[in-house]
Amino acid sequence: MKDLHSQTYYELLEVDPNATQEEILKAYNRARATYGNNSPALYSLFNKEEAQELLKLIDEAYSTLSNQFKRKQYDRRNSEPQTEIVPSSSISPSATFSDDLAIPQGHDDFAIPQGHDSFSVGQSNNSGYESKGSALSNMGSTKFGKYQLDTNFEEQIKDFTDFPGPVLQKIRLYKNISLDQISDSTKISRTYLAAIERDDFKCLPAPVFVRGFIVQVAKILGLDSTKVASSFMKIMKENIPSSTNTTGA
Amino acid sequence: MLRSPFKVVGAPASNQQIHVPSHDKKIWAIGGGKGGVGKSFIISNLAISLARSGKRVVLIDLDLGSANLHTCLGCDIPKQTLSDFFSGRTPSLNSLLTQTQLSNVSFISGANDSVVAANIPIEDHNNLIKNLLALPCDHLLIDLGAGTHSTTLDYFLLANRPIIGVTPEPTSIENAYRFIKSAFYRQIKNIEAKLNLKSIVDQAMDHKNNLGIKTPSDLVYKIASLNPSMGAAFLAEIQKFQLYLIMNQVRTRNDVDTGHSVRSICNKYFGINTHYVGYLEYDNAVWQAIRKRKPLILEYPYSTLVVEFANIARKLDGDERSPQSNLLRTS
Repeated sequence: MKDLHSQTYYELLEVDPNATQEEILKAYNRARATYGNNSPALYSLFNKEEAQELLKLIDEAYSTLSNQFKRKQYDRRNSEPQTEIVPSSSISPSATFSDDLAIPQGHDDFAIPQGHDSFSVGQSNNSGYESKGSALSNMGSTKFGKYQLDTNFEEQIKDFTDFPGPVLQKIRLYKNISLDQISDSTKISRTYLAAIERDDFKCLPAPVFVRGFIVQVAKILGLDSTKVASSFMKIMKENIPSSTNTTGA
Repeated sequence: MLRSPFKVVGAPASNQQIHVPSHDKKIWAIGGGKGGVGKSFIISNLAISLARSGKRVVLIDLDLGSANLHTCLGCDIPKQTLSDFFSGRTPSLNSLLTQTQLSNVSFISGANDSVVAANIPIEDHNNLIKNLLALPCDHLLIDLGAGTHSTTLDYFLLANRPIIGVTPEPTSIENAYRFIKSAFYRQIKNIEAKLNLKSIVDQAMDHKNNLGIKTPSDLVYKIASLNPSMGAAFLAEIQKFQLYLIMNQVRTRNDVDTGHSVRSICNKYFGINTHYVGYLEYDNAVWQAIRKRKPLILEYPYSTLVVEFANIARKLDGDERSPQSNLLRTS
């Protein structure tokens, strides 16, 4: 689909170049719904591979446009004359998706497994939930599907001590998990999930709720939920001045 | 009353094109491929919505062989139908106009016309269009039959508001895509004839596998790239083609969203600028009105559908947008 590859990220998501983050998120969710496995609108027109190719482009577009820094870079690059606007599958390691990314059948039935409160990267478990060796030795897996293992990045994840939103997003994208899948599984609003990844603390509810969200997201990502939640809440506290505490940044 | 008054020709006029003189009429045509999705129901109620806003509307039932627009409009089978026009018994369409309950809505019936449009010579179609354009009305609304016959597609394409009626069911969506694809290729063929681009289209088609043409929009890009100078004219013509989508029998929010998805896919796959102008909720009032052979809007004025029809009619009537199609992109 040559012309699709030549579309800008904004065209792919069908949003205006001046679209707000909320509009981009809304467009992304709509695009995921349109090209997901369960979409009735795909019937008879796109085969699975074509739809997945489109999903890759759409995820790639969203991973850039939802990140203020990446979006500015992208806009700057596209405003340069003679620059061809071509989504690159190698824009970042985290933006590369496997063919298993599409929303799985019956994803609404997913629920967070009980009794797995302290998953951490590299920690073995018998849930089939975290990355593990398999016949495809370089493939990791989550309950949503497989992803390409990157040993360097796995090591980096182990070394992370701070978990701001963009780091969580990077890990999520690395593991080929979409916001839709997390939202469907945890019932956390996509708006909040996106705000978490943007470190957009003003869009988030009271800290007590956010902590609950982070714990659930960390579990989905196979991270140590206690460590991740503590880190995120600390960052949040430092960045959002409360009405009674003006010591924040 | 079954008659065969037509000058039946040996083969359908699939390679012949209907001639449309320049005009200033607003022509709406509803197609969609599948039968039973509510095309006649939708177009008849859109006509009434337009009439309620003061427009003079003429409907024509070109679902020959299965015409039942009169039923949706709450009228008896007219004594004179299109058969009389095609046979020459009635030279003027004015005498075929049947008045409805609304003074500014009349219609021309195709009821009891036993032959399909395919069997009507191209000259008769051209004569019909010439006479339709001369009718005293603001809006000419065309009800088309199911299927993708070239004549059906030609009437669909002559409209400046080509409307796709679809329901959220896979069968309807599948047939709608087939209809859109057929209309799109028919349009390409029309432009090809107009611009003498046949060789380019054929070249692109012949190399379908080698050139990686997977989608209709790929074909358009390929045609444009093979001959940039003629391709630009081709793109300029093809971008004029726009579709208007109405999702009928919507029951859930997901059904509404399916309309957005179909629109998005039409944009991305076909490269056609498609507008989702609205949806119509499933309402028991519909079948009740049809069983009574009454127009829904007049029989159930408090149905939410009345508002939905009014909104859709307003959007279609007021939509003078001509946004750039992504077909314009040449890279």
